[in-house]
Amino acid sequence: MNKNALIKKINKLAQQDKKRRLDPRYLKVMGFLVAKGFLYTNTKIPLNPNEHINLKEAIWAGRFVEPRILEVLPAAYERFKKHFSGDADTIEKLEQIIDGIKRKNNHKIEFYGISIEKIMPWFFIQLRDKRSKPFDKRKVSKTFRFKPETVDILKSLKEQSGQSETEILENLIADAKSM
Amino acid sequence: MNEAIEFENLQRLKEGILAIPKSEVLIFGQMSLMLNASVVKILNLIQTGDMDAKLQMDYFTKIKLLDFLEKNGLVYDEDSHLVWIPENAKVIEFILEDNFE
Repeated sequence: MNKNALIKKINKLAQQDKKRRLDPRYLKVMGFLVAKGFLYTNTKIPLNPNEHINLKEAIWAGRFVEPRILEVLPAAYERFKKHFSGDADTIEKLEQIIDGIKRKNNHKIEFYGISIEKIMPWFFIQLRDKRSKPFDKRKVSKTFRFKPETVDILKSLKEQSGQSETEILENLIADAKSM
Repeated sequence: MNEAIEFENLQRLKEGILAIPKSEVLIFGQMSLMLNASVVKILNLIQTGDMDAKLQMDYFTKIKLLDFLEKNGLVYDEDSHLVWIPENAKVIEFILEDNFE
């Protein structure tokens, strides 16, 4: 390919990219991911923190416009599942990634060519709204059966200290661990 | 962070321990483009919360920096040393503080 043909090809690709960055599918997913704090941009785009995202459209935007979308999409899906819908295959793929990260078994997992090393950090970041907890900071529900007098002591400690019952137990466990 | 280091240095001075030396953060990659006003004017940029940077700092300062990044939804890329820097790359001074540059 000669120099002129190459320049012509680059210009054509640049025009195509410019057009794709105005595509509603791209703007919709970017508006959501930027609003939630997964991505940052220096251009003004309409922010849609409450948007419903079709996974097929998000993957299109990631594959053909901005690959960083694919990098953060599994974490965004895991943190805001109610905002996403998609076909069974895509959801299964995303669940496999989530399961792999939970089990710390990440061998050979990738998402449309994006490696697990690139995908994983975004499961653990603090987001803008502070309501969605990072993967490693979420509380896990656990049930215990205590003697009635233990429950009375716990209640009294709660009143004395102003801490929640969970905080009291967590502090006791942390102390026991450090001894 | 500058204040936290100043406070720590005061404590160290009282205890006769060496003060924390001045730190240097050399930001690379997409974040360096985002911080460059002349680049931002001409390019549409998108980035994740990934910060590629060369850090020259005391362990105390690094812990404070990582904590600051985490609270702001950002992550320091520990593989930043693998970033290739072209020979003719220019360094632009962005932040100049008593304890940082």
